[in-house]
Amino acid sequence: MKIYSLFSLLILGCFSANAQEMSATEIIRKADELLQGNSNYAEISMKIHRPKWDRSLTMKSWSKGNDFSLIYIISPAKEKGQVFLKRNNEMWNWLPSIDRTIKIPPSMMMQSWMGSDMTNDDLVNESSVIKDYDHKIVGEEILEGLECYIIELIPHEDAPVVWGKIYSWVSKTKYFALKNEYYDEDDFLVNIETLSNIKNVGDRTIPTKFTIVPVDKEDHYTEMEFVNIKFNIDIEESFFSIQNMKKIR
Amino acid sequence: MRLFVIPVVLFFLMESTYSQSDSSKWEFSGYLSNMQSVMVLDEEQNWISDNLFHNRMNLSWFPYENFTGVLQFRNRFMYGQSIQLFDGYAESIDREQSLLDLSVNILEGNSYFINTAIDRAYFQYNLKDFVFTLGRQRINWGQTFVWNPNDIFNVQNFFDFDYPEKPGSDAVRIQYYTNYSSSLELAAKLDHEKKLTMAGYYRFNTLGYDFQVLAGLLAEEDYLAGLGWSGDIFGAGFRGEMSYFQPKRNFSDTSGVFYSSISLDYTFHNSLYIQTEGLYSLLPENFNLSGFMEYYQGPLTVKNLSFSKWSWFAQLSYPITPLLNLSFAGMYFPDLNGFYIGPTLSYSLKDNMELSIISQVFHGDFTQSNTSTDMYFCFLRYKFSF
Repeated sequence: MKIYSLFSLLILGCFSANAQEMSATEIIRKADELLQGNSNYAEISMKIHRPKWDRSLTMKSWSKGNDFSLIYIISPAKEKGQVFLKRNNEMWNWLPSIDRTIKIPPSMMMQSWMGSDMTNDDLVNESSVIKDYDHKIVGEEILEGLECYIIELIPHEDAPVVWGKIYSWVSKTKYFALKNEYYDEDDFLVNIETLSNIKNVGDRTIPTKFTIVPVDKEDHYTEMEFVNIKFNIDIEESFFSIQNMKKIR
Repeated sequence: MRLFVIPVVLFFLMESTYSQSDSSKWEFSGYLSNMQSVMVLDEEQNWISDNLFHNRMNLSWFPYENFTGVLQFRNRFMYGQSIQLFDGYAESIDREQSLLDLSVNILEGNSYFINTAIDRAYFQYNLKDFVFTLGRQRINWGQTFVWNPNDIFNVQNFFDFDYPEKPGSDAVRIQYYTNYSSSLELAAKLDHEKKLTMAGYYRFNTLGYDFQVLAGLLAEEDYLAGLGWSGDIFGAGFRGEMSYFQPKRNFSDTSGVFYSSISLDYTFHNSLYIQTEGLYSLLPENFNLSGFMEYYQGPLTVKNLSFSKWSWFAQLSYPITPLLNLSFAGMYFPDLNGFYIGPTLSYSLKDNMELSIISQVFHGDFTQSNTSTDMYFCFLRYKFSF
């Protein structure tokens, strides 16, 4: 798997608040809260670009904390109506065309979609940038006219993480990252992620477009965009049920 | 059929015309495919060649919250040598297994037919923890992937890859969700001989596993009981199903049929997927399918899942490139010295267009069969989903 998790990147994507007074870890915890909310609803479109082809995926997503998630696939047509439900460590897939609920074992979560950098796991299971990494402020730089801290993230030895380290450029005033660099375990730069389309989405301002470019592959990128996102929606745990998985649209 | 279908279709079409202003009340999807097939059944290696246009239409209607109407049908236009060579081929396409005859051969000739068949036509109502479903629907209680002894409402046919939706049953079903993952169900259907199949079903989740138990009556002839599960061992999917069927007439003797299927699946980090499944069948001595062709065309009830004591299945699937997927499936029937091999190549041409080459090879001492012991099928399919 090349890119660990677009969704975990999302968490990285938004560091926040009063960085002078906060440790790097506190910044990340704050950022996590900013991007997750207690709960959220999002309409997401994803595009995979390769030199000779493009493929796209659109979906709706509901989540509450890190433990509850429901994803409805809107397109491509062949997959439309499929739903993924995650509750704690368990995951199910609903296939309406054959009236079948399939319990997804942990290994199947690693399957990628269309060779994208996104797996089933990424869809619903955010790895923890708080728990799985040590964080340190290592420098400052101006990006896009915004003053940024450069934060280094080093994973714990036993963490289930593919990266050797991550650098993140976090705006001092706007509280989100503008760039992330992902290094492998041999310290080679693998992916560069840029965050753009900064928008006020209601109760907060965040980047809504994430572009990941593999460094050693020309004309390859994966792009994810939040077409619509709402935070702290009123949603109960009981929403994340098999009954609702079959009903949602 | 026949006249019954038309009002149903018209009802949906008219409703859809009137309600176009509110598009969220309607959903429409489907696919159109063309498949060229070649079949070799005899020792002279004569090719039997056919071509099939297959169009599926799925229509859903959401007039109120918690209420859904579903209509799905498929249209098939086939021409070729099978229709000429095999007596009653077109009629067999039109054969219904369910109570209502919702299939019609609109046109039929020596070497072609056009068939339209409705395989889903139901209303569904969600009332708090209850779900009521009435009409032609698919009730799928399977947990494994190839042989499903628990899937008692359906006609199984693994080899019919061009029809993944499978036929529906004319049934009534009540589901009661006791919590987020547990449910209690009652379902009943009538088949084309007006014979009743009904069962109760309970599923629940514990220790990371989904479990299910069921009991009922199969086509008024057999009592049945079954259990099934889905979980994982070291990250690999671990699923199983068992069912026992005992004829009502001979309730105390040993004429019962027992099936048990167990499945393991694992996906590696490079997206290589492997799945293996075994089916154990304890069949009474006089229990026979009429031949392998019948097995190929699909058994008529879940009681005819197998014709040998052991059946083994394995499948590998691997994306050679993100757009090109190779899968290789095999079955082995030790009692018959028989095997099946099914390699498939699928290529994604565009977001909604796919090209596939599918082969099916059978070999074995399928004793009751009148056909040769080797059969080859090859299919080239272009599929557009919308």
